[in-house]
Amino acid sequence: MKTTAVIVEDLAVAAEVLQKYCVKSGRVTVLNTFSSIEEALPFLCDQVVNLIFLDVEMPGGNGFELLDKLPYSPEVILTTSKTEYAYNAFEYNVTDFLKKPFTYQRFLDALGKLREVSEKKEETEDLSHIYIKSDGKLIRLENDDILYIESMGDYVKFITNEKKIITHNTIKNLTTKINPSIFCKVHRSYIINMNKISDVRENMLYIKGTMIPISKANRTMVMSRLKII
Amino acid sequence: MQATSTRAFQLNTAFDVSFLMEMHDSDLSAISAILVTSSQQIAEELDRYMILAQKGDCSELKRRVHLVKPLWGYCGLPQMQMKYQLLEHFLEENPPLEKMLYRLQQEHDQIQEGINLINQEALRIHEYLKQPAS
Repeated sequence: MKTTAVIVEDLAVAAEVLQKYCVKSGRVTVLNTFSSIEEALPFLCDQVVNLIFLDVEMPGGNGFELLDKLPYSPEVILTTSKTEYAYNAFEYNVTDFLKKPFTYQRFLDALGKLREVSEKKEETEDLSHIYIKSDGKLIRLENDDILYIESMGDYVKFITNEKKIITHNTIKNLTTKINPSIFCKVHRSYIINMNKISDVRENMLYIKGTMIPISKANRTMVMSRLKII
Repeated sequence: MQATSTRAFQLNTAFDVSFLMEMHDSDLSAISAILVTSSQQIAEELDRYMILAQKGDCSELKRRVHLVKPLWGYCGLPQMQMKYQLLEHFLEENPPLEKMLYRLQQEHDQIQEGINLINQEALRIHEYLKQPAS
């Protein structure tokens, strides 16, 4: 799977070369390029990305301030022409530090480090819960508490045993983020917790009395995941 | 002028030829484009430096030196990038106005020489690429 990234860089030539390297590698999809942290912040708060290529000294604030303001922690590769930031890079646990200008080979080395870090994270990641953004804060939800997730256009509603939480997201996006061994997309508007199904009737399933449709496209897959004896 | 052989065209060895060719996959038109863009930006900034120095705006001057510093590297002139790095360090110490103006006057001609070198190389590549393929 390709890494999604943004470039935050105030030097157009540097951003262009970096974008070119990303395309050439075939491993990174650059979603957007920004020349200041003010421009980048709203985008990054709205859309979760895997990686930020981040310059440090920029008009209106430095790159580390952007990291302080982000509600999540993507991987970061610093791109700067000043080696003095190495200490900060260490403090912020960045994946790599590229001194501008850098060669394509050096860029590939950084992607190699990124892969190593991601693999280690996957090995140790706790898949028992997720965090969702709502009302300006991050709310922790235990997977076991979530009954189902319902689409509401550009928003989704998480239904748990005790509450309903609406957050800006899509079913499509969530499908790639949630634990696939517990959750299942049963319809374009619904992701359900497979452990919470009380009964299934033809093209419908029920969770705590709520009827949820199963789409034709998903029915075979849903049925295959039920323990039918 | 010493030159090195790269395909049929010989880039001036004053530039870090292997770096430029690697960065742009030996694409001369891409190299030419980056040389033109960079020299324009460096020249524009150089014009600003004296104005900022005369105003005593050391902080903005330092920021602008930092901004274009890597452009020298992207043009394959790391020694000029180092020169800018030293200038940036000098400005970080908030030198008095006269010292700042003196230093900039000292550096000005060499920076201009660097810009001319880039422009000449961009022009040579442009002329070469205009030739019909044999």
